[in-house]
Amino acid sequence: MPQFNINRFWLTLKKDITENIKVVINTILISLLIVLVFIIIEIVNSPDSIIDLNKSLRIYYFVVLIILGVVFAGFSFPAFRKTEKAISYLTLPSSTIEKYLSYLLLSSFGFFILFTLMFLLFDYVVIFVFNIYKPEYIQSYFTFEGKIFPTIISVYFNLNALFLLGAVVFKKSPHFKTSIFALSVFLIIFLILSISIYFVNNYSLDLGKSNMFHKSDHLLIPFDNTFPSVVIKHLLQYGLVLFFWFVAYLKLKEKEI
Amino acid sequence: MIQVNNVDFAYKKGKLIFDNLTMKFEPGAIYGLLGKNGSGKTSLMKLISGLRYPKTGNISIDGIDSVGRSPEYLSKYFLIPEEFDFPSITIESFVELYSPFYPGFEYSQFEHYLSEFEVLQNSIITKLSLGQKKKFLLAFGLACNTEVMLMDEPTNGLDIPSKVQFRKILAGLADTNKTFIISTHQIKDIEEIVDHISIIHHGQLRFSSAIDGIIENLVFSEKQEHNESEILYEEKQFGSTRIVGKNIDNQYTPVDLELLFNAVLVNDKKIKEIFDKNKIENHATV
Repeated sequence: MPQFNINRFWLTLKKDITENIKVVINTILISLLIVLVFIIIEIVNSPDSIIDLNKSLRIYYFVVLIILGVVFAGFSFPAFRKTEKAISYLTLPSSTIEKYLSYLLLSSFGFFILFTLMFLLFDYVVIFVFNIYKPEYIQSYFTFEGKIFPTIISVYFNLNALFLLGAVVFKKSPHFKTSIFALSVFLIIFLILSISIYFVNNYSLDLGKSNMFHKSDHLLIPFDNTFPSVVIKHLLQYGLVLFFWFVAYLKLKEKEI
Repeated sequence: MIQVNNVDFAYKKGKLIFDNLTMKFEPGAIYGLLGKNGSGKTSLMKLISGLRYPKTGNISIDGIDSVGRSPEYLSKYFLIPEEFDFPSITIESFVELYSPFYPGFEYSQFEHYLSEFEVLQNSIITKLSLGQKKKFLLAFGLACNTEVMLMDEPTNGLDIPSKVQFRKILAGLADTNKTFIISTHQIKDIEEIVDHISIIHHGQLRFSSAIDGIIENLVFSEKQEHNESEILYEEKQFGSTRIVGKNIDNQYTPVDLELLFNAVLVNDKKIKEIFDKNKIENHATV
């Protein structure tokens, strides 16, 4: 039974925030600076009439969110990169679940919220300045509308959870090793599925076509708004996230230095 | 009390470091844990602190098992590792963040130890020298007032005045109900402060006795003062020959830890016999 004490958890979280916040904020600021450079290049190089800053900023938001999410998740539990740090981390009198949840909150949810808030502010400033200088081509501010948003969030949490697990498992080069591991697993599953479908259902595999599995139209699950459908849809989107989080916790618990 | 019960331990794919190791550490004593390089001193420290888990057997502090690293277990000890790493924050911030995890932490004690070691309180820890970092960690660890203090080579990196301070502080804490385990190969640094010696060799506890017991059972002297028959070990030192002998006429000589250590490595069975025999005789007298 995991031991959880809210006061101890708060102390652990406070310690982890204090030790990591500078790096997180600095990295986000540098990323936003790079995005600004790209935006300026786009403004300079495109005719005013076709500029769609809102669309560009949305793309940058998603791309940077996912890249930084992966980077920070992979750098979670920095103590495990160095034995001396790991000793002080593991001997700190708080339970594994408290230590784990603290990093989970920081690298998954905390980073997501902080990055989104900083990006919204950045977006506001960029659009505000643009609209002052080019009032004839008014640009709209960032919104979370659109079907793509839930998908991107799902991709973010899946990759973030995968790399969080990698950070616990691999002592050195967690990003590289997690990527290799994930790609290998993906390839194996893909091959198994392809071969199974080919032999069992006599479907043919054609990588050259957009729909790889011929006659596979009926394989798509028709999601509607009924409760079971919604549950299955969310399980498919976030099932792996929960699985990775759980395995990462177990790995942290059995960690030895 | 720390209990190590029938512990087998090996690193992955390696040979057995401990084979059925059993020992205990009582409260109110300063234990000197001695052994050659690679004898398993650091491994034992890691096992006690829960950084490693035994393959079989168990380790507990006051009945709480090390496996699982529960907060109750972790708050019972403070570990001073041989090598350490700190976050890039000031000493004050470190204390603010880490001390609440230790209910017995006393700020006034911490300030006192820090000034004894001459470390400035507003320093950024990562900018301190290795010795100063160690002194800060010692000051913090001692101020945590945990039941058990595990110290792995605590005098490494300390200058001579700091070693003197370290011994003075520890001697002052000797009467408390705490257990200090000092693992070291720098025997001279702890000679005057330990009151129990445990020697580990090839994964086995080869010797364990209180200093009083050692004084009672053994003599440490120059060779000419003793008959050959009483000598358990002898060693040439700067022109003279020092010996460890059986104390047959109740003469009490200061313990020479270096000599004792070498004697145990060479002749531990004979030494054990002497201690066991005296134990039986003492019990019979009682």
